[in-house]
Amino acid sequence: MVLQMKINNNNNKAILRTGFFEIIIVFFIVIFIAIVCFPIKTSIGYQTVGLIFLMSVAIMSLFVGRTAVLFAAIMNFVVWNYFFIPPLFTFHIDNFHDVIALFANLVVAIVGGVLITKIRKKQEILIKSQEKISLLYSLLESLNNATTVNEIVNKAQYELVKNFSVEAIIYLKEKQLNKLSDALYGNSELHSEQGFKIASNLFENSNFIQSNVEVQYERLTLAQSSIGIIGLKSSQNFDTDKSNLLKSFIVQISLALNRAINIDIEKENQIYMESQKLFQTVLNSVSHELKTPIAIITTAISNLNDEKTSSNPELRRQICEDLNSAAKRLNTLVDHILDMAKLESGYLKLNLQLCDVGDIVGIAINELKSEMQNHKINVNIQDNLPLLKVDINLFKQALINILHNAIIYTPVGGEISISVYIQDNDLLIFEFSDTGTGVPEESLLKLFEKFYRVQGLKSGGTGLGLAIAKTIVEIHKGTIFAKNRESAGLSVLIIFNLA
Amino acid sequence: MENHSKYKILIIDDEPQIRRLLKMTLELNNYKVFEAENGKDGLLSVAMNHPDIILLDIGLPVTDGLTILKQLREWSKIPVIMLTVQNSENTKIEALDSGADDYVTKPFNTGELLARIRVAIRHSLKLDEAPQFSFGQLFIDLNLRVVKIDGEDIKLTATEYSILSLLVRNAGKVLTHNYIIKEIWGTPYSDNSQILRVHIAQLRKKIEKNPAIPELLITEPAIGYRLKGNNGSETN
Repeated sequence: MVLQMKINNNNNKAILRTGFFEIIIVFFIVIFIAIVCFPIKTSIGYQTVGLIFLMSVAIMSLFVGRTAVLFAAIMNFVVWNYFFIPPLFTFHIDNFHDVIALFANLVVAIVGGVLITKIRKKQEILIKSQEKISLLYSLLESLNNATTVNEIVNKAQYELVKNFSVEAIIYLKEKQLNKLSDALYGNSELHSEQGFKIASNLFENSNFIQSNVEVQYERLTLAQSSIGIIGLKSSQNFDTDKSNLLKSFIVQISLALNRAINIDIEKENQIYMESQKLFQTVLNSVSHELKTPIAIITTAISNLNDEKTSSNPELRRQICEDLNSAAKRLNTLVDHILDMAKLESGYLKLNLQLCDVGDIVGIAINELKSEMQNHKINVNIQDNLPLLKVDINLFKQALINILHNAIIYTPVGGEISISVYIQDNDLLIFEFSDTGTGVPEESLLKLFEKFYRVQGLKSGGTGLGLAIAKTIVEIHKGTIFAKNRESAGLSVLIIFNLA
Repeated sequence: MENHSKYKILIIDDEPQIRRLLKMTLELNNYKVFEAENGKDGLLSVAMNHPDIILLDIGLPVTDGLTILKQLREWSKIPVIMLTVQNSENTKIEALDSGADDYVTKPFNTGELLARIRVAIRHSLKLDEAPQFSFGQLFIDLNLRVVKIDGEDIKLTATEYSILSLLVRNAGKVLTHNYIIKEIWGTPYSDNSQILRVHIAQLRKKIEKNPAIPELLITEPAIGYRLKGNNGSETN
């Protein structure tokens, strides 16, 4: 097995070294047999010794290469002749049948040795190709398990280092454009401006001849077109087998990358379609939500300007109330849109502070005081809750939005309960329950989507409140979900894992 | 109610509509109003007209309100109420730490603004020299160190009493965490902000009808605390 490995590593010097090493071993075996047989040659007869030599060659050919077998056969020939066949210590042979036996011995040894070596060679090739197949298979398998471009490149890089001792860098084609993108994958240490230039040249012109020897660039091609360039840096040269294997692996990498790129494009298209749809929904909803209070305000103002109104204080008071609520609604919507934009901008920096849970709930309730005056509010906060690390302004907004939603969908006189408690030792739970109508089961998840409205329920919110609450809870690493209560009504739960 | 006619208010805001509306409201409430549309004119007007209180917009063009406030504070102690927008807690804290007396967040209702103005004037003119205060169910006598809820004596720890009396002496005004910590413990260790929260929670349990929904000791999220004044700030 040691020999096999070395052959696999295929290096001419190594072969020479093992050949020389084998000859020495063979040499000593022959000498050993000769020394053992010499004192007993009279009792067993020199012909028997010849047979022993023949057997030794047959056995040796199982383990050593052709050169060593030939060497053993010739050495046997010489040693047997010189030390065993009478007259001793000469190459002269008296009996003619001894001459025949000697040459027969030589011929059998050579033929046998050569045949056995041939068989072994074939076996070796078989084993090698089997290994090649299983290696290729394992490479394929690991590529198949990867789905994104990054994953594929990482896997490919890993397998290249492991099986070929090759470092790789990959540049991919720019989308829509027929040139190489300078986004690099793989080992970034191999990247150099000069290298990228060579890669670009090779990408644009397949006949380009590279002179840089350190990193060798190959095109990643598929049937008609190139999808990119792979740069390889290896510390050793490969034999044909190995380099063929490497080439097939690179073809597999191209296939896998192409697949991933297509999936990406597909996904992008899908996202594009969805964002188109979302944009339309947002536009429709926002324009509706914005226009309604503006319409109310405009009408109210023209009513105020009416002479009949000015003489009727009760009417005027009512109009002012309408104006006030429309302005409030407009303000909430603008706040929500700004909040959403802020949350989605990716530039939001959380101002995390340890806060008293009861305090946050109190603040949220206080801000909604006037909206809640027609509902029964039930607050139940467990004693000795730990301080919670949150951005209090954001988190307060999440609670306000959830409560506001509960207020809108709970009839006047209904009850809204807020409880905060610890469950299973390290789950901190905020539970908001109302006595409204609840929502159909299939809407429970969608409640937290932007501008989702449960069919048949009156409008009143901005359509953004719960979506904002969800985003805020999630950036604080909490979870939020809604469920229908056993008695009528909806519960919204926020859960933080304190462990 | 005090007679407002003698009080002069300077509005520094770049929006003519806001200035006009504010002027209308304030004049209806017997204040004398001066206007300035930028910081430079504002500072000039302060020197010329000696207002009793200044309403300063934080988002002024050219030189922003915060800078004007700092310049003003170099030579004047006239109370300043900042006009701010939502979601600018850090700016609010900076304004308060730079000497602003209070802030209101746009869009504000006039009742709230008038209440803040009354509180600021009272504080600056030291109209609250009487040592006794009552806020709803709470009664406190700073001389006798007595605190009563619905006429019943309640016991406060020394720290709780210090915090409460600090809030009472500044009733209606927002006090930043840092300010309270500095007044109570001497140095503004940030570690103390947690201790402050615990003391406030304890204090609420003793003075609030429903500690879960405080009505006296109000939290201004991320900024500080405010004891709701007894002077009309409840108008909502």
